[in-house]
Amino acid sequence: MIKFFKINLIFFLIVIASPASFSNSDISDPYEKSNRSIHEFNDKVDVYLLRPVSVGYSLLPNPIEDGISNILQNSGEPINFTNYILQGEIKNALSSLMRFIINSSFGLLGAIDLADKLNLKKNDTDFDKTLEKWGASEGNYLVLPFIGPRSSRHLAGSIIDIALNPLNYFLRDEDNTIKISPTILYAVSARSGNMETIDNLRETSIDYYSSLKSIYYQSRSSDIDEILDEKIFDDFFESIEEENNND
Amino acid sequence: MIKRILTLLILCFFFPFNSVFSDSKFLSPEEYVTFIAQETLDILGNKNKSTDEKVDNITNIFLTNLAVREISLFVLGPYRRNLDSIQKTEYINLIKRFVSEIYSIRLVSFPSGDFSILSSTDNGRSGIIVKTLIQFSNDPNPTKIDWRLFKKQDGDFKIFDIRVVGIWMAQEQRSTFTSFLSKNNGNIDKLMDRLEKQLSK
Repeated sequence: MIKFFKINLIFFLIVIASPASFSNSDISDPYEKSNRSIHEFNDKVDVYLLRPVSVGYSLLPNPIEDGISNILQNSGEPINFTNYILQGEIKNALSSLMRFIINSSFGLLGAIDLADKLNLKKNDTDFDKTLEKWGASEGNYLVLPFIGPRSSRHLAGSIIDIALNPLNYFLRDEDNTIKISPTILYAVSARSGNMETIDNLRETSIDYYSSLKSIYYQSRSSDIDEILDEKIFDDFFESIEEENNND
Repeated sequence: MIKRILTLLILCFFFPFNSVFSDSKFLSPEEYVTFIAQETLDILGNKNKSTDEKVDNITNIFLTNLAVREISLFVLGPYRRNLDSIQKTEYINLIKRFVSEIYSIRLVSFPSGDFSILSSTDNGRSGIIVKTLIQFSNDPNPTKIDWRLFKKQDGDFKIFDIRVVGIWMAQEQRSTFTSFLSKNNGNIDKLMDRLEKQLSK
């Protein structure tokens, strides 16, 4: 389960309250006031609805929980495949395709991650990462009701990813409740996998909204962000060295 | 490498463990991280220790090995220039308490596990990144943990930040603190009041 901790955490943040660089001063948040109001709303949805349901879900035996998590992740492989192609990452695209074929056929629709055992490790990408690779700027920080934190570029990317998700075609003639069930299941599974982390963060953070924003942006960060990040440290240590020399 | 290990064994034989930590200049970054991680995992897995004892032991490891002064200043972002010298002492002590009372308690809920080093990169002034994996005993899948080390002028290593599954802790704290300060006109007394309130919960 911890293997998918990051993925789950990202998803939880997206679904519930979710956050791209590290200091808040670097993050464009022009709608902070309304974002905070929606964050409060999403937090209440979490406390009174999602968390209790997730506590019940966590009582399921681990193999069942892992199986559900694997099926949901397997359904995302076509999204990974398409986006890796659009990013020119052919090796990763083929890996995603092979994972999907193997797990869907021999892995009970993805419940068992057989591909992992064949050393085809899971890699995740999405249309937001594709847009980033194409040079689109990140845009502003948004918090959406029920969905949670996203940058405006990520929001646009998510709409494309929804269109790419084969589950949506598979379930298109079904009742609305059934159509939305994979999303709900994904949210519950992600929340359940991060129970203590989220609870601890809410309890100990002096500003839960800012903590989630930072976590969102860090979890979405790219190699370019990491280079910028090193610059922040470099500048800090340079100024500390100067202060120590002056002392 | 063999020379380093021999030096390490001699140090372990003649000195208590904490003395080795305090003389981390004798160790490579990987050896230093291995010692701290292994010591922490041993505490977490010790069934003879009560939770309070574990919290005390882990707090001791944190306070001995974390660059508390530097972390305290980093998390203030540009607002650290607002600190006067009296406030600075008071604020750093408060952060020490925060680390002891919040992070140690958080960590004690983890089980023991197996630890391995993946790689180490020296990024110059911005620190040394040691990438590791921990296989916790209650989970079949390993957890990635990265350590940013900072070398003090005397050559000792200190931990500046820890990244758990992609999230740097000090950076997350920096975002939170700077956001709070920007809403309170950079008033560090208000931040300290807020931290006190958090600690008294």
